[in-house]
Amino acid sequence: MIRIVKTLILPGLAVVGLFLAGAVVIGTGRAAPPAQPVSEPGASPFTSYVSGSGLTETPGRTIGIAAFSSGVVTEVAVTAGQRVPKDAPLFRLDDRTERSARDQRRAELVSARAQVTEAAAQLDDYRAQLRFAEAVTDRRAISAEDLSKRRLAVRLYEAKLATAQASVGSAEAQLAQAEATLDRLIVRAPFDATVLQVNVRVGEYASAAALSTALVVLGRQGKLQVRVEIDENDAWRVRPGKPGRAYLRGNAGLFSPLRFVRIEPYVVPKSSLTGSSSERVDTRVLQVVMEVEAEDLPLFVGQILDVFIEAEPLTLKAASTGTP
Amino acid sequence: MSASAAASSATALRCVGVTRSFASSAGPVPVLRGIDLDAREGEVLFLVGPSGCGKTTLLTVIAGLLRRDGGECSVLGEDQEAMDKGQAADFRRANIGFVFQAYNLIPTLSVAENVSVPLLLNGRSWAAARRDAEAVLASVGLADKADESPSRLSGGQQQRVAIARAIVHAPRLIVCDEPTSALDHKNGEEVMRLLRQLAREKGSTLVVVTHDHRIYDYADRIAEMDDGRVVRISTPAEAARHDQ
Amino acid sequence: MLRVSWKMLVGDTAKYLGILFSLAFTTLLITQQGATLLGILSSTTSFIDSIGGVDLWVVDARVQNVDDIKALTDTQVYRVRSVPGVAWAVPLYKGSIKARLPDGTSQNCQLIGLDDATLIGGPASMLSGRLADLRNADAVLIDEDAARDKLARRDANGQQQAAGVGATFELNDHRATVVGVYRGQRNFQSQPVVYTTYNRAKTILPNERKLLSYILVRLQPGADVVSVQTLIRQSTGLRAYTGEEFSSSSLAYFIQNTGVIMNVGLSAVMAFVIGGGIAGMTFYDFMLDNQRYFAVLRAMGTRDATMVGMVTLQAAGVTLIGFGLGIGAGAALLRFVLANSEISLTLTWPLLAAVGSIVVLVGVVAGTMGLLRVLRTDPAVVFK
Repeated sequence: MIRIVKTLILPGLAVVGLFLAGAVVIGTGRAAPPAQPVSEPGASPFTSYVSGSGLTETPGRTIGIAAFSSGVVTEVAVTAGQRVPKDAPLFRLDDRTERSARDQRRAELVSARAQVTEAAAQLDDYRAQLRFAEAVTDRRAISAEDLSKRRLAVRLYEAKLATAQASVGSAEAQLAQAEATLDRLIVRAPFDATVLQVNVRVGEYASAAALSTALVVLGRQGKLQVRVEIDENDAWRVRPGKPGRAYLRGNAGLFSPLRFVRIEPYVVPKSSLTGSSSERVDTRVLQVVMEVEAEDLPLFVGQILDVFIEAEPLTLKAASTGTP
Repeated sequence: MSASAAASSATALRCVGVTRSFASSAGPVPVLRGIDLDAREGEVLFLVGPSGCGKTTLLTVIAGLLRRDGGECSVLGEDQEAMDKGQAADFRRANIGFVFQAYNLIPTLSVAENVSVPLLLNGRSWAAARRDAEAVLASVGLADKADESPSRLSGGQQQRVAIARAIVHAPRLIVCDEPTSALDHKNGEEVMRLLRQLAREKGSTLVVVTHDHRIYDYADRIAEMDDGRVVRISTPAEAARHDQ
Repeated sequence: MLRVSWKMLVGDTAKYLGILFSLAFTTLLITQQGATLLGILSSTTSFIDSIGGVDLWVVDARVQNVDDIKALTDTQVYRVRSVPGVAWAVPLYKGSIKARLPDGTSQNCQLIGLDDATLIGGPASMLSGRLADLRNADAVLIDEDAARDKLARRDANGQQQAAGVGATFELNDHRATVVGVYRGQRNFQSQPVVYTTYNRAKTILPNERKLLSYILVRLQPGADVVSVQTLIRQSTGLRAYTGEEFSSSSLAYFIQNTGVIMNVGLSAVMAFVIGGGIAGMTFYDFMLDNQRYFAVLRAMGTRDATMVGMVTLQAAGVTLIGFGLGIGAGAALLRFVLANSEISLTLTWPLLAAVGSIVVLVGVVAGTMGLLRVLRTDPAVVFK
């Protein structure tokens, strides 16, 4: 028995042990393969390029429409995404006060005009009396005093007519002002545009102040543009006129060539788009505006794109003089 | 080797003027002071004498395990000191069998395996060695003990196993050191009888160191030693007479 | 004669087993210590090693190891992306945060923020849910161990309920919804590792100006790694490590700055000294016991070469069997007993080879000493 243990079982166990160890090693050695990216990031088509994040916008940026005066909204005439022609009303503020003011002005105008008519009638009367008196040659029939009075009366009523006529002008102007005030309560599209955002609803108070969130955001129609932010350290490599390419995040198969539009000459602080209440200033960035050339890209205004712009080759002084 | 062995077939062992001394703190102590001795092939030669007379040393020299200081010693016509270490080992393996006072059976091997060792050393296969070993064991009357452990055998049986081991590869010379001194009379005689008988059968020369008077009868010649010299060589009968 | 020699050894049951078991025990101990050490070391770099498909890790120039995070600004990603030879570069956040569980307990977690668009660097082995679900609102992924234990919720009866898809907890007062459970390597602190997207991580975390921990870079096909590293260094001032460099740099930092190697190494050395000593002494003892029989064999005409072969076989035999037994026991221990423990243990081929070499060293030393003893013994002793 012990002989079998010594000569067979122990060496056998040893062999089993070796295999077991090998199996365990192979078992642990088989590390899980690295996770495949959900989507590969886009790669630059250029040999020399700079990269940045780009914010999609409409040509000439987006326009936040303001109200001329503050007030409660009574009507919103557009919805987001809608295309509107120039001067189409966007929303309307409460206009009851202004409407009654206009009506009053209108009444005042009528009244002023009536006064003109009255003054004219009286003037005509006095003129007729004056003409009659002057036509009498017999100085005894009409005293000089009476004649003088009649002349003065004509002059007085001429002035009254002028005053009444001026009052009409004034009343007309006041009516025009009242109408303009009324009209300013209707906010209209300043140009042909696409409504990007409607941040105002009936019953809300629209303030005439400069707002961080515009009441209505409009974009000009036309090809979308991308505002590319290039780290100031790489700004020297950017040259006007170079083409670029933008990739949609999350699918590197969706990309578009970009056409250079302009470089914003003023380098601005980059704001990181965290959605956090306090934006953090990171670094300063050069903004390059490019036009998206692809027509069929499912691209929305405000979307962030990964952008590559063809640029000066990265030749460093240190590279030519040798590494430090 | 075989040619020279055949040429001197009559003489298995020849020692002329063999000297040997051991170092001690008081200077070299001579143990062998000029031994002249020879043995014919097939002869049974006893070396006897008092303790410390140098007979075991002489046996060691004969077996080629100890270098001599002077003189000549040839076994089967060959001088082992003329060979290098490997050749000497080969020579011993082929030509010399050993029987020890303490049996020196390897305790972790079975009886048959112990007997097989000389054959295995000489290149026999495990199975063939086992077969021959069993045959020799049968001739020493221990066929039924082949798979026993040596430690389970009596002293006499162990020495019979040792004899089987010494003889199994038919060496030309068998050196025996006090083969019976650990045994009682009956076993001692049995061992000596077997040893002599098997040596005869195989034609081996036996050199036996002993001081056991009871087995003198098994010798052909008895060389008496004293103080490093062979003082007398006689037949058992003469020796017995002399002792009286 | 080799068979004889093996039988001589095996026949001595007590010594044979003594040698085998002391060798096996030595092997087991060294293996266990080595595996622990490897486990600890690999857990320090498991974060790097588990993220595949990345050629370079770009970090602040002074960063030496993966846990030494010096945050970068977000635009650095674009700067790195502008370096020629870089195919893509994505941000990765790593930091710690306290999670508050629905039952009111809190738990320190590691928070990993993956690039929102690509989710590069995400866990490979999802047990439930999908990596892409991270794009859902408030979505996080948690690891299997944490789901079972540290982020598990206690129900009304005090039973632990494993956190699965749909479980929620709070990260810095932000709601986090589990959308998937993954199987990951244990990290050193055994903390739950919570994955979310980079921008969500920025939202969750308290305001800091810089939060970007690493930039992961893939090179363009055919780009020269060294020259891109140099370019990144020169143009952005950042340091670009390859995965292996970062891993080994982290490892070196860890080894130099902690006493782990010393402690575990010392245990291993003690195991080696004690176990190896016992095995070697027992073997040598066996040689002494058999000295007489080896002398007999030599007297009977065994050549030295044969003796060497015999002793070598004995030494090699016990070494191999002892090693096999020990390594088997060690492997079984790691695989079946400690598999689910908090301790991280790793068995690798180099470790096996190292332990094998150590045991073989024991065998060689013991065998050589035994052999010298045998060869030095004068065969003439057989007559004494």
